[in-house]
Amino acid sequence: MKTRVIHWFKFASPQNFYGLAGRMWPWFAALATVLTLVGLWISFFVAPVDAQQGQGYRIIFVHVPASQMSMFIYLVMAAWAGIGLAFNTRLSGMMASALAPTGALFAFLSLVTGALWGKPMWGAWWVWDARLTSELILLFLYLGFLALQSSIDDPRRADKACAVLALVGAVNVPIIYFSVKWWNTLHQGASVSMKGASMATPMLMGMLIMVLAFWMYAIAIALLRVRNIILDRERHTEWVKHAVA
Amino acid sequence: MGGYAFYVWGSFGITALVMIIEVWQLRAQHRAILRNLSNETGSDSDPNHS
Repeated sequence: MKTRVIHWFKFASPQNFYGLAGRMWPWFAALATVLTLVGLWISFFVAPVDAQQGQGYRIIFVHVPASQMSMFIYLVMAAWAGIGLAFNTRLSGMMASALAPTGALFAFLSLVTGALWGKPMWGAWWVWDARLTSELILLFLYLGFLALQSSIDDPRRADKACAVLALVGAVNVPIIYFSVKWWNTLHQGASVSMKGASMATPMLMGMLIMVLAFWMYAIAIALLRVRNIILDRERHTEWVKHAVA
Repeated sequence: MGGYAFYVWGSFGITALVMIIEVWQLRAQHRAILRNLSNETGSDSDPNHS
């Protein structure tokens, strides 16, 4: 029993995870590429024109995946941050830091593609609607995380401060998710729910494949970035000197 | 694109652009870190080796 526990924690050491991440990222990158190509093909050639929104609805194939990832990455980041606080593992803080910039970019993309969708359909780039406003707050939380991180010189102290911010900010994610139910919003409700989907099958397939593609992209990117963070933070250790020599 | 060309291509375009920049930035950062490390350790190995 004891040996199994040690085996699991083996990859909690940055040195071991550096190698593991290096072996894993190309697989996720390859999956992301294939899924993106299939997803784009469905998005433009298979999915039919929408009855109400014509060709304009095709923005959904990037808007929904980007929005979903911006929320999900935040939860994963907060979970890593929480693990780091609870177990004092160095890798957890590095994982949280590796996810934050990508989450911020997805939040940004969600807002920009949303504006590009809102203008032709609602007649406005931006409205102070509950869904849009809470997504904007998510972007600010990511930016706050990144700013706090870079303002504290000691990375271990920075990890702890950022972990608290990440955990407190997590309350915003369910607010974004349920905003279309809790308040009267201009933003439409969920197209996919437990009761089924309110959209044509090829549209749904295209959207789900694009969501999967964004997942794979986010994992590959997080692994690439955590490798850079590990190398940077451990640059004075013997193993790094051996690894690059 | 039925009059929506700017909005649809704009959405896909900015998403592609952001992703390409992010990948490029991480690869460049990785190379820079390795270059600095090999300078510090004084080794004359290939800095592009990962």
